Amino acid sequence: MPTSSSLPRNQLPPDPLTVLRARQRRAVTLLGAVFFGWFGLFLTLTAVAPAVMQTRWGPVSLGWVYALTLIPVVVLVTLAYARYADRALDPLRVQIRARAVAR
Amino acid sequence: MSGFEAHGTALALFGLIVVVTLSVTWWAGRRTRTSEQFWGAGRAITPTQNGLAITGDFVSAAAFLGSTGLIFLFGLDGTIYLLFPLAAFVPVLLFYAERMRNLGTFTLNEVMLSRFRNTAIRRILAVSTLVITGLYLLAQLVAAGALFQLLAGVPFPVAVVVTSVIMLVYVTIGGMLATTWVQLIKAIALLSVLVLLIVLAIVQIRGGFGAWLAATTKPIGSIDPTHPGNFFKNGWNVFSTGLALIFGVIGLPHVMMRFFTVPDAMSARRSAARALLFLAVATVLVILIALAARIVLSGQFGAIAASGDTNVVAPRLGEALGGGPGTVGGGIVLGLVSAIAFATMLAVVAGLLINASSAVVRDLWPQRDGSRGAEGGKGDLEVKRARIVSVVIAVVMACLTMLAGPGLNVSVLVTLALGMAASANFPALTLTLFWRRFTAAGAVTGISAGLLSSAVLVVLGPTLWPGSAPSPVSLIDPTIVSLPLGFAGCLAGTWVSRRRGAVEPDEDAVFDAMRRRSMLGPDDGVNLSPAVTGSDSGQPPASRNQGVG
Repeated sequence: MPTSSSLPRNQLPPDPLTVLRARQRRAVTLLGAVFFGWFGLFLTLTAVAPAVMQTRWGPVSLGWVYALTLIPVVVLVTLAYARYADRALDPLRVQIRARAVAR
Repeated sequence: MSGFEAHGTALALFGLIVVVTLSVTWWAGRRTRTSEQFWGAGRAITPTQNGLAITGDFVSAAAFLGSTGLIFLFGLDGTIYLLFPLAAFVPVLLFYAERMRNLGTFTLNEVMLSRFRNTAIRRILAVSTLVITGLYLLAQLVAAGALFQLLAGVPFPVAVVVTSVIMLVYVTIGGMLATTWVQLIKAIALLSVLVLLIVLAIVQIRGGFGAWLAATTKPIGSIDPTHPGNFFKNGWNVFSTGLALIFGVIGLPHVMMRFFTVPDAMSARRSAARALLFLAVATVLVILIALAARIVLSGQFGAIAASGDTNVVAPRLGEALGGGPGTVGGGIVLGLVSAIAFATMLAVVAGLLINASSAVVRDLWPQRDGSRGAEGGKGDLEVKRARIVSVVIAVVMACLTMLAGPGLNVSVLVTLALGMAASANFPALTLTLFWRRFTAAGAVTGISAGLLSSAVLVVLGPTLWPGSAPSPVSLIDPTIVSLPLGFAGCLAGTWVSRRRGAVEPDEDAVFDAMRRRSMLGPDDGVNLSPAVTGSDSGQPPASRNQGVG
């Protein structure tokens, strides 16, 4: 790992950059899976099973309801990542840069 | 048509709004002195402003005019053209915005060049930028021409010439700062007009909520809006279009360029998040407008379906809601809707032209050694060249637009450009950021493979194929074939160059340094690179570090 050599040696055992990467990877994987899963399923149903998308529930159809749920999914994923980055990722970045300055 | 008189009010209002936006451009243009201001708007745009500007860039004619028409005609199939571009900003937010701001300077190209210092990449990226923005430009000009034709009652070629001239004025005077301001004002104006249309529709449509719900399911003519397959004749097309829309934005130079107008990576991330939220609101509004059109314009359905005039469904809805053709109210709302849509396109086109000219001036224009500085006299020369190139590109595109004619749906055209971006730029960019073994030769072959294959499929595809005979290729968007080819090209080029041993000796160090910078930001003042840790620790870092804290 080339990452540890540039940082002060008397820091806490988990290297902040490693922590930062791990946290970001976890957040991005989870949110990415939700997002691609939900959108991928929409495309798949539209392409492969049009009859399912045409299912009627009283005044609405499954396809339109599904299409409309795509918008809140996008908003939720966005808000979740934005909050997480503000609280858990940015402070670490600032910390790493501050240490680099301090030396 | 309903004659010139009825559209007089509309035309006057239209002129007024164009003059106002031009004044803003002029005002901003006077402040554009250095090339940093011209290309990057001086890097002083806040995240909310930038989010709005990205929204403005993206809720262009395509989303507003094109999608309204497609949902109006085809129902559920049309929503893909509206919802998937919104979705495209999620991967941008999660994977690209921060990294690219941390690595890049002005253009997408320079992100890749920060890893591979290679002239061939610079050239091929400039070519792909030109082709993609050119096609995107074509889409905007077609819609602008169709609108102006509707308003002024002039033939399509005349409308194209008029709109092209106005666009050129925007770019040559303003630069990126001007387009950012115009985008911002326009995004607000567009959202207001969308709300106005919906309020008018809610007041006028009898039957309340039930009528709106019924519009999603009630067939008009022979077309059932709940049925997938009205527009996409087979499943492959659905996947292909979805892929183009989701991954195209990442390869779209003029949108990604917006992330370089903010001071740092956190602002870039916040811009992406704000843009997503604004876009979500706009998307809901456009869906409602399309539904309103299905209710209010159901009598004109047959005529619009037959003529293919899907780009002017929203303005026609405005006219009908204002009181109908020939009335003062109808004229006012028609003028307002058209003018805002037109301003939308002007601003988008301005951004596109800047991007295309940036590709030519920075990467294709013959340079002597060391003349690529951004400061001082060289910068002024760059701006001058950019303006010349903008004129040339605008003239070429205007001619192509006249050939294309007004009947092509702007959303469908824009998606072709997105498909090319997804095939050419997206694979190479992604592998540059994330794959250690990737090589410069891999990038060049990948971009070429994606660009060529998508260009061939687009030209032979049903959208641009002239005449009424079936096109040789039935796939609407090329992405499902050309995106994998783009990746395959990257892999093949990498494999071959590694077998030949044509790789830089310090490639691992370069990749590690790039990864660190993409995570932490530029190592100006603060020395983050392990390779050069010993060299310049004596710099005063306090002032440089403020942008990060």
